[in-house]
Amino acid sequence: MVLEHLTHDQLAHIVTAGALFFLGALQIIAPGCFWGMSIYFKGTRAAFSPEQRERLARVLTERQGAEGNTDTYSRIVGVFTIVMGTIALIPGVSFVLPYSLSCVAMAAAVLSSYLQFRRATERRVAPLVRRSLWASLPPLAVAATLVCLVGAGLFAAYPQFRAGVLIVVAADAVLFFVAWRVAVAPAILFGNDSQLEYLVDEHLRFSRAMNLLALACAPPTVLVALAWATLPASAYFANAVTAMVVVAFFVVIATSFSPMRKRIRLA
Amino acid sequence: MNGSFLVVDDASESPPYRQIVEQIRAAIERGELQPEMPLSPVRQLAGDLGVAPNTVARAYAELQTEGWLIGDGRRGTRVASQIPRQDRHARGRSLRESVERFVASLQSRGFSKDEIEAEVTRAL
Repeated sequence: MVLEHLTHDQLAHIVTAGALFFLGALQIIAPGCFWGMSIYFKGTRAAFSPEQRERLARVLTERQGAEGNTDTYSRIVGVFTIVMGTIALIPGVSFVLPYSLSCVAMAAAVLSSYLQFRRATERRVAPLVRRSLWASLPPLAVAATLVCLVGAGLFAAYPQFRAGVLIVVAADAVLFFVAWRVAVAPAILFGNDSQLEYLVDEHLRFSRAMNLLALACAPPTVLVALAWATLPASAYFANAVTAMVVVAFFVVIATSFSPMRKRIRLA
Repeated sequence: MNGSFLVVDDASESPPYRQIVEQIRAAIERGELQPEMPLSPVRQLAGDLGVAPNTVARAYAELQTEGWLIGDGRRGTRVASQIPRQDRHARGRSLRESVERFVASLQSRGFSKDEIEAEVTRAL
């Protein structure tokens, strides 16, 4: 096997390049994968009657029109990520550098999408219901995300990873911030089908916030795992931190996954 | 979630805070807002409606003064457990004022008394 002759460092370069090629291609082919809208309503559509599907399509079209198209941000970052994947294959360049720059680009794309979302429509309709931040961002997921970010940050103790780790953690802290802002963002209702618009708004708020938390946890987890693989087995501190980060990541994924598939129901 | 939504109409002659007051009062009277039900915090409602927080705060303050809402710092603003009794008279007055404004608005646009009467009767 060719892989048997590779050092941990060479393997880390190849895995990083592969991950970046995959992420780049994903963002070009499916630009709505991180911020989009319709992906969160696939299960709901299937459960709706034809009339309800038509109503949902109208509401989503109207909302999409108000939020504007953010596919361009995603595609630009996709191309940049593929370029970074190529750089990750160059011997002598640390795999951490292209990886961390890709994370910065992704955070910039999400932040741009959020800023565009904030400007969406002049609001004039509101539900008279108190919203809770913790309904959109479960405390367990928030705590696990913080553990993930802080745990990854501890890898800055290793000089060879310091710059990359700090950049990744900073970029993912931006994603965490955007998740929180999305969870507390004003409702976007138009008053044409207020009941369904409200349900869509709530579903989108939760799904996006949780998706962003998962997105904020994935890069530090991958980086920590790659960095850990290049360290000697006797690095007990790194072993403990890696285990903590990986567990926290799976907690976030588990917390976010099942409710994201929840269908909205019309009375 | 019941059907309680607030709408602020920019084209209306009535100021936004007055529109909020009237719609919340109407929602309570219709039973859409139940006694003790917590309402949106001022900042949340202001953000959703795209109005200044002071506008919502003024509306809540007026409804609290009239006895429709209860402000409790820690628990936020809630619907009062009992609809104010003395308001039956005020309700009639509010209806009269609204109809007078409506009729005056139509007359200023050139509609005759008979036309307005016929259309209102038909709509009812």
